[in-house]
Formats: sequence, structure tokens, C-alpha cells
Amino acid sequence: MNHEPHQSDERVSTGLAGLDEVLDHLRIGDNVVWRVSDLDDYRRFVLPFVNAAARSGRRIIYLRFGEHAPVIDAQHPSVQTIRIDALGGFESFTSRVWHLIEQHGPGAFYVCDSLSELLNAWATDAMVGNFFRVVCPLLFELDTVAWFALHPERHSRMTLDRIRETTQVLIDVHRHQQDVQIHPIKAWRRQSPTMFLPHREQDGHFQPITDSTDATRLQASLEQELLHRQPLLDYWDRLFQDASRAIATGDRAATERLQEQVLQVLISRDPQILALARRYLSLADLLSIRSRLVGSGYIGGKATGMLIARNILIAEQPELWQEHLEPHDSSYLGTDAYYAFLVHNGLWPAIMRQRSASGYLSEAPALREGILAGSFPAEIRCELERLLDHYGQYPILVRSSSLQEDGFGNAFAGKYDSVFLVNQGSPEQRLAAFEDAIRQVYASSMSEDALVYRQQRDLDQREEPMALLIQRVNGRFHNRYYLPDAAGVGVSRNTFTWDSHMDPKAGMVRLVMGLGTRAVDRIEGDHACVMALDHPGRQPFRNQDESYRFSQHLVDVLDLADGSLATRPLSQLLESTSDLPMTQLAEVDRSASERARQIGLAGPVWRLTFQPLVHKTAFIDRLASLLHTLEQGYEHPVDVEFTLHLDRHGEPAFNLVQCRPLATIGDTGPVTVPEGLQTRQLLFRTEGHFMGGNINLSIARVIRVDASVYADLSTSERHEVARLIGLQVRTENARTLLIGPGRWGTSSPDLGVPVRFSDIAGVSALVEVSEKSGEMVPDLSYGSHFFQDLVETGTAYAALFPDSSHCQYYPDHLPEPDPVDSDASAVEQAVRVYHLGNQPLQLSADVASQQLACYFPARRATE
Amino acid sequence: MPATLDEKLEPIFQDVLHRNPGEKEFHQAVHEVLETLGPVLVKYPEFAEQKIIQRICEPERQIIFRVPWQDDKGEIHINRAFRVEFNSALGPYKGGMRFHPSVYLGIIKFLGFEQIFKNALTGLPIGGGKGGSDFDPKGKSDSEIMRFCQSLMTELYRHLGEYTDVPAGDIGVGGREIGYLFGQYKRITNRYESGVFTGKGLDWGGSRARTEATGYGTVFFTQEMLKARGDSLDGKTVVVSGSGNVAIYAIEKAHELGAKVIACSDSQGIIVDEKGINLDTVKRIKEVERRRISAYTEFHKHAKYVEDGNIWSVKCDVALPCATQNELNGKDAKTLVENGCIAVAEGANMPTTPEGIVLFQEAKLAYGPGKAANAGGVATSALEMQQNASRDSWSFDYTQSRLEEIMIDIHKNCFETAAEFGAEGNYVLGANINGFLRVARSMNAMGVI
Repeated sequence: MNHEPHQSDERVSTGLAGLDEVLDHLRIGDNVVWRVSDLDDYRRFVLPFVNAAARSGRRIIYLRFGEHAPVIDAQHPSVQTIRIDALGGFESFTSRVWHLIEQHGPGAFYVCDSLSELLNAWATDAMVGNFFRVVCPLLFELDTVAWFALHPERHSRMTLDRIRETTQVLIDVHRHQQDVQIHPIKAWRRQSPTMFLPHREQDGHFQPITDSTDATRLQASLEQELLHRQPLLDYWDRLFQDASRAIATGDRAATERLQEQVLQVLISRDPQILALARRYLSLADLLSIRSRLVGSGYIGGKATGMLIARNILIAEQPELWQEHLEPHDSSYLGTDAYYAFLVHNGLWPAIMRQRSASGYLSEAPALREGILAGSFPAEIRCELERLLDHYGQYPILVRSSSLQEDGFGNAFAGKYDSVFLVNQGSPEQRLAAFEDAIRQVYASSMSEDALVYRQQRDLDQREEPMALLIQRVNGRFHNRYYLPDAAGVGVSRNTFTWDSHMDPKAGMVRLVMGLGTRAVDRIEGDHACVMALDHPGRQPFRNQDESYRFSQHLVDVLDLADGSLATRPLSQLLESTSDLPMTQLAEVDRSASERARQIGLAGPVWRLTFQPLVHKTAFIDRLASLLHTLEQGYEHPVDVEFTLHLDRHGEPAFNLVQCRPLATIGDTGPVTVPEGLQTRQLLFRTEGHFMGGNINLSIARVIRVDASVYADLSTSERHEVARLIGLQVRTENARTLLIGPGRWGTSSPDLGVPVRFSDIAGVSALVEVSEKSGEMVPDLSYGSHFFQDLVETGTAYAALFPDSSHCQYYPDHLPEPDPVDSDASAVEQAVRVYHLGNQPLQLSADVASQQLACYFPARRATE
Repeated sequence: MPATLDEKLEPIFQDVLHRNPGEKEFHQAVHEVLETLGPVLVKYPEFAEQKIIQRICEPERQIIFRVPWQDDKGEIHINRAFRVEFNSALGPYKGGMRFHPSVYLGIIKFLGFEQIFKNALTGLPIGGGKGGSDFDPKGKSDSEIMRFCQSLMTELYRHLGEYTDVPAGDIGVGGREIGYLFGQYKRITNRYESGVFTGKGLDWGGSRARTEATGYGTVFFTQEMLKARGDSLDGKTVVVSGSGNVAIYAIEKAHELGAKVIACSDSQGIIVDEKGINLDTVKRIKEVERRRISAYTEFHKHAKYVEDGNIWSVKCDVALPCATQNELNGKDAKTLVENGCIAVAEGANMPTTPEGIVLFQEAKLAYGPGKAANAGGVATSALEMQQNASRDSWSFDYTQSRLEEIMIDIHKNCFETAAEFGAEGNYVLGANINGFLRVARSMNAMGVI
């Protein structure tokens, strides 16, 4: 221990008077580690200790987790044996032990199985050390005495040193034939002239070996015994060593068995992901992953998704993708590196507090600060340096790849950070920036957004260790800037088909020039190019001017001079670089070019419409094929992120950055619209005429524009309604359904409600209702930028045509709205707000059957 | 409907309701015009005797027709098109064509009815009309747009002509569509009658200064309002809302006339530059780079950007709302008045709420309604017709000078009409009545037709 905490002087017996004499007794707070090659040597010391403790009236807990025979008989009257499953992994095991110790409180005594057993179960050598470093300070604080055993040859020097540093008492036991010696290595704050000499046991007494010749002979004989022993590897190293051997010898049965074992410790525990990995990640692939892994443990969901997807493509369409899929250059920081970081920085107690129900959100900020201020263990730092040497000065991207990320049902999209590193400067500066980036991504696991997301999905009590995916940023240097030719998000199901001719199964893409950050998120005032893959030339614009207006004008780049991610106007970028692929991605805006000439600016003015890429290259076909193949492989619609690298003919090669199952808007899992819904339960139901894919949302609040009141309002009053809705939406964070006549976002108040998208950006679902007067007809395609915004925010949308046979709408089934004052204006009366309380609505939509229903689950026939 | 009508006008309105059931927008437009006509009938009783108002409320001709066309996949579609030739007392029917799925007869009649008076106010020889179709141009290829336009013109041509009916663009009908429509007209009629359409490209009879017309016109009108009070724009501080075409060219003309525009905006926020808005920067941002107005501060660090700011809180002498409908409400009007604003002219359509208008009028501020102040766009359409009729191609400067003359005339007519009816300086009343009077007097002169 670095600091000098207070330790009680109260003496505790080892149960052996002779040993007490050697060690000057134990003290309350001591952690005692026995390094033994034979567990019988541990047992022979445990029993007297336990009996002595029992006589003193101590509570004694035996933590049983090893596969070896018990060190204490389960029938011992004074000992409570608690079995702990060691197979759950580091966090599970450590947390369980932590909670047990906390529960038993101060003064309890503990005896543990051999820590080396953990190496059989799951652990790497380093993680055994980390476990010890977490648990022992807690035991010390709680004034316990705890005994541990350790097999000295099964651990590295580093782990042994760490354990030695942490424990209060460390004793080696040597047996040479019938000769048993104990050798105290450490006894904190105790000493005597002979305490730290080897002691030979004789009739219950321990005599120090004071003759140096005797000691030397003893040492020599011990070394002789060790000479021919093979070093014992931990589970991790042994597993991969066996895997290499199986591949080298062509042993198929062993290869299959080992593949399964490696998948379980490297890839995932999720059955669906494992099933995919089993099919598409061979043992050789897994070895390759390991060769790029810093630390140990899982590589996490994002890395797994990316690797599986690449292998699906190569396996299913080798000729196409061997030529047009760029090789990846990714490295990984395993989940154990995350745990090691936490332990190294003394953050485990903070983690335990944060994992509690009361501390889940309140403890997070302090933990986050602790992570951001933390340092890396020396061995990890070395690996990080090696990684940077590998990437040279190419920009890299540090991405979260937590265990639960990108799984079926839990995308965690945008919840954790990704950090771009320009990776310029001296090696020291680059390493410092790299470490900062890693800390930032680790700390993002404690953001409120991420924690609430997990809580909403009942994932808050599940482990969520953070692995990292380190990727070389695909792109080119353009003077001071670095950026890919293009980047995008592809979805194998077009969940926003705005035209009846579009087939949802054909897929959709959002494409940008430069870094893909601009394709992933909605950016106010700027737009990615959204295309349905079966109709890429069809855009939801009226004319060319609109298509130019709603195109991308700003480009995300890495600015090597400033050393940061930056956003630059396209025009500015073109002023400083002449080799951007504009003829492949853009069209010349002639009228803007003329205007530019008139005001003395250089032209031409380019607009990023991507039409040359669409019409003159195989981009659309290749992307469609990529998405289709991945969807078949996943047996589920998928969502991918990619970059493009254009050759000199403009033909694109793909760099697949991420792949995950397509998420449902709202809660997880497949959606089935319930059968047998009673009319009384419905707010509305429709067949078709909705967008957003599968939807499963619980709605807490409805804001509704009363069509009959709205119809009587003047134009200016209708604009007031739009403003009032914006205010109402912003007052609360509840999941809100917005429902109104005609078109949301129209500029003509006669046709609907003239809101801006920013007024309604917080709603979960937008519903337009066709009104009898005929002119207020829903059609989202009328607001082209509205449509884009809906796509980018993933807002569900439905259009209701109550007069048709495919639609039912019962606004009178809503409960009483929030009251308005008796002297409320007509505008206030037009906007009704319904807080649903304990009778929320459920909005469910199934893309496959094209059914959508919004209903009150709580209402039953018995009501 | 708000105010009750004069007892002579109420039966007319009821008849309109009866004859045009379900056309709410048309009803509202008629009601708004009738509200202002009480004093007119007192002064001009012959209009009642000759049933001028009843005749004005009934379109001269309403044409509804089928437009079949094929998409790129060969699938056949059928749309419905309309042309309402409302009133030709002052000249050939003049009004835009709108392609939008919401289009139906009621909308076209409402727009056409308003067009009569908007056109009349210019003082130019143009009547009122409007047309359109429920065709949705969104997502259509150029070929599909062309086929639709050609099919539409194949029916409509027989009703058009430079002396008969002259359409222009509107929502969904831009330069591309005008080109296709004119091309088909020329082909069928075998006549190069360039005056049959306005909104044409510059290479084939279009008018220079069209882009600038509405913005320039608004400022010309403002100048006239100030002149009528013995003042001018020179040295005045001006705010202009918006940063589209109308706003940009309003700023340009205001600067030319010696004013200093210190603020403009877009839907996200406002820019305040006490040194005067640099128009080249605004043009660069909005017309070339298509960015948010917030980017202005990248080029002019001293300027201030306020996200979601209220431009009407910026102290000014003159306010020109050029952004959108309903952007200036009663509270904003009060702020402007309290800050010493002396003139407001609308470059946009109906940007000021009724409460705002009342406040401006009570404060006796010079308030120019959009109907008059933004008539520059309509006027330039008529100038294009004149240019085509003389088979000439006018320069920008000449077109601009003609535009200025027209705006001066519009102001004069509104001002004098307001005075004639005992409401000096009330441009709203002046604009409403003046447009009507021109049409009514002409109809009266032409007999019962």
C-alpha cells in the first residue's frame, strides 16, 4: 500500500504458537498470502488458524470457488462456506466477493481457495492480480483477517510483485522431501532480526535457518526441483497456444473445440452473436484477432460486428469483395485492459458504489472524473506505444466496443464516444493524445445518456465492460486535411419509403463527403444525401434548386495543422485543395457559380448530389449487394457504416467500419402487433402509411391539434399554434406522440400545421391525419427537409386516412386532456395535451405485415 | 369569419358561399375584400347597381381538364389541372401555375381572386387568373416533368395567348417547367409568342432584374412612404428579416439609397452588424455556399449572432419583414414602435399579424402592406410582357428604372386612394380599394359582360 493507513495493534493468532512467535502474531486487517506448490501445505496452516479464530468467537467465512478439494471441511461447525461461481468472469466474480465482504461487515475472518484456480476458470494472470488489488484494501478497511493461497509458478513476476505490494503478510512454503520450511517474505510493520529468514518446522516450532551454508543448500535444492518444470501458463495463454497447435497439426476436432472456447472468452456471451461468430470466424481468424489485442478479454460488440460482417462478405461473395472490400487495419483493447485501468487507479470502490441502485446515476459523475484523471498500467502503456508505432502518423479512430454494443436489440447508437486522433506530433505527444482518447471513451460509459439507456432496457445490472476498437482512418491526405473520399450509413431495409414505388427491402443509404460523422447524426442546417437503393435517382425534392439547397455544404475533416476534427464549408475546402473527387461526387451549380463570379469568388460552385457516383459507377449495385448479403448472414436487417475509396476511374472500394442488427425504434426485440385488440383500446390503427421500420414505443404524452378548432383559426392564429406546440414539446422530456391535421411542417397553414422541425425534434412519433375538408392531406414527402430530419432523428411517422377501410382513428378514446383556462384563446384550445399517467399508449408497428397500432394495453374488456 | 359585412355586401357574400360550396379559402379571400368595400359603395353607388361586385366574385371562365402522362417506367398517371380566368377587365388574365398535390379548384379560385387586385395595384394592363394541377413534381425525373407539362399544354394551349391568358411560375413551376410548357405551346401553335409566358429564361425573352424585383420594389415603396412624410431612407438604420432573395435585394437597394442595414436573419437566428451588413458576405453564405447566417461571424468577427434571436428587438428606423408569414406579431410591433421605428414595409406575404397592423396604424407609423410593397415581382412579370410585345431585350438598368416608376405609381395610387376615403396614410385601405376601383371602373365601362 502506498499510503500508510492505520492498523489496529490487536493481535490475532495463527493457531500455531511457533508461527505466532515467528511473525509476532497477525494483526487485525492482515491479508495473508501463502505461496504454496502443494495445497496440503496451505491446509495444514489453515486449520489451526480457523480453530483459533473459532475459539476467539470470530465469524469465519470460507470463500469456495476452486475446483480443488476444499481446504476446510464443509461440516466445520464454526465456518460458513459460501460457494461462488468463478466462471462468471472478472467483474461478476469480483463484484460478488465485494458484496459478500460488505455484507458480512467488520471483524469477519476469511479463508479463500487458491487464487491460482481462477486461471483455470477465466482469468489471465494479470486479472488475478487485479482481483487481489481490489479485494484486499476492502478487507483491510473492514478489520478482517483473510487468508489466500497462490501457486508461485503459475504467475508472472509482475503479478507476484503486485500481490506482494498489496498484501500485509506473504509467506512462502517450501517442501523438500519431508522437510517443510516457511519463509516469511513480508509482514507489514513487523520485524525481528530473524523474521524474514527461512524457518524449518520441527515439532510445531519454527527454527530460523541461521547457517548460511544450510540456507544456500536449501535454495539450490529448490532450484533443482524447479529446473525441469515447464512454466505454467494461465488459461488465456494456454488456450491460444493450444489453438495454434491445433491449426498447425490440422486436428479438426481440437480446432472445433478450441474455436468454441476462444469464442466464449474473446468474442461474446450473447447466443445470437456467438452463432454468427461460430459460422464466420474461424480459429485462425480468432488467432489473428488475438495478435492485435492489447490486454485480454472480450473485444466487444462493435469490433465483433465489424469482423463478422467482413467475413460474411468474403465468404458469401468472394470474387466481388476480395476486390472491392478494403482490408481492415484494426486493433483492440480487450475488456481486461479496462478493468486493469480501473483497478490501477483505485476506482473499483467507485464502480461498486455506482453499480448500486441508489448510486447508479448519482455516483457516475465522480467515477467519470476519476477515469478521466487516471493513468495506465505500465504494461498497457508499452502496448499502446507499440500500437502507435504500427499506425505511424496515420490518423486513427478510437471507438467504444463495449460488451453489449451492437447486439441484437441494443444498438447503443451514439451512447458512447468515438474519438478521432490526428496522430501528429512527437511520439510523446501522440501517446498522450492516444491515452486521453482512451480515457474519454472509457469515461463515456458513465455518461447519463448511456446509463439511462441501459436502465430503460434493464441492462443496468449487467456487466458492460468497455473494450476499444482502434481503426486506421480510411482516407487521403489533402494538404492540411485528411478525409475519406466519402462515407455513409447503409440500411438493408428502407424504413423511410416516401414513395409508394419504393421497396422497403431494397435498402437505403445516407452519404456524405468526408468523415462519416456527418452521415450518422442529424446536423442542423446541413444534409446528407439520402437515397433509396432501388430508386437512387429519385429524391424527395421538387426541382434542382431544392436538391442543391438540401445537399451537404459542410464537410467533416481531420485538420492536421490544428490537430483536431473540424468542420469546413465545402467551398473553403476547395480553396485549399485541388484534388478532391468533385467530378465523381458532385455537380456544378451553374446559377451559384455565376453568382460567385459576380461577387468575385472563384468558381465553379459544386453541389454534393452524388449523382455521378450513382449513375456512372457500380456504387449502388455494390452497396445493395453488400447490405443484402449481410442481412442474409445476420438473418436480420442490418445497419452498416462505411467509407469509400475511389480509384482513378471513380469506382468505389468499400471500407466496412461497423455492422449491427437494425434497431427497432423504441424498445427492443421483434415487434408483433397484438391480435384481438378491442376497439375500446385503440387510438388508431392502420395498414401501411407509416415510416420508421419496426416500432415499439410506450407513449407517456400526446399532443394533439384539434382539427375542428384548427379549421376555424385564421392564418396568423395557425402560426401561433405552431409556436405553442414547440413550447409544449420542449416543456417535458416524456415520450410524446404528436398528432394533427394535414401536414406537419408545411409552409401553408391551410395545409397543416406550420411548425419548424426544431419545434418538434423531441417527439417520438409524428402522426398526420387526413381531414374531411380534403385539403389537409397527410404526405410527408411534401416537406423534403422534414423527411430528411425524420430519417436522421429516427422519428416514427404515420399517416392516417380515417375514411379508408384500412384505417381506424378514435380521438375520443383519449382521456381528458390537461385543463385549459375558461378564458383560453382559440389557439390554446386548438392544442390539447394529454398526460397518460399509468395508462400509457403503446405504439407498435411491424414492417413485415405493414400493421401499425396505437393502443392502451391497460384497457381490457373487464373495464 | 371575423367582421360582419356591410348590409349591402352580406347578401353578396352569402351568394358566393352558396355558389361555391366547400371552397373555404375562396370564401375567406372574398370576405376579406368585401370587408373594405363599404365606403366604396357609398361613393360609387353605380357599382352596386351594375352588380360589379357580384360579377367580380364570379370567374369569367373556369377550366378543368384531364392530364394523362407516363412515368419513366411507362406507367400511366392521370392528374387534374385547372385554369381559372377570373377577370380580364384590365388586361389578359395573368397569374401563375401551381403544381402541388394540394391543388384543387378552391385553392386556385382563392389565389386567382387575390391576383386580380394584386395585379390591378401595379397599374399595369394585366388581369387576374391562376392555374395549376394536383401533380406532385417531387421526386420526378426531368423526363417525367417534361411529359407532364407537354400533356398539360396540349389541352391548355387553346385558352392561352399573349392577349388572352399569360401564365407564370408558382409553387412547383420554375424555369424548367416554364420552358417545357412554352416549348409545347410553340410547337402546337407554330407561333413564337414569347409573351404568352412570363418567368422565362434570359436567353429566350426573360426579364432581367426578376430576381431583384421584389426586394428592390419593397425598398422603392418604402422610400416613397418616407418621401410622403418629407423624409427619405438616406441615413436611416434598417433591419431586414430573412436572407433569401427578397431580403438580399432589399438590403442591396437600401444600401444604395443611403440607408444602413444592420441586421438580417434566417430561421435559426439573427445577425447584427452595427457597421452595416456586408451584402457580399450574405450572398456568399446564402447563394453560393448555402449555409446558415451564423457563418457571417466567421467573416466579420465584430458582428453578433443570436441563435433564435428576435430581429424586431433591434433598434431601427425602418423595418422590412422579408422572411415569412406571421413573423411580426403585436408584441414585436410594440417593441418597434417603442424603439422609434417610423416605417415598416412588407417584402414577404402577410408577415405582420392583425394585432401588429393595428398597433402600427394606431402609432401612425408608415405601414406598407405586402400587397402593395411587394408588388415588384408581379410588376416585373408585366414588364416582361411589355418587353416581349416590343420584341426587345431590355437592360437591367432600364428594367429597374421601369420597376421604380411602377412602385412610385403604386404608392401614389394607394396614398391618394386612402386620402380620398378619409384615411390618409392608411396604405392597407388604400391598396385594397385602389385595386378594386381600377377593376370596377373598367368593368363598368365595358358594359354587362
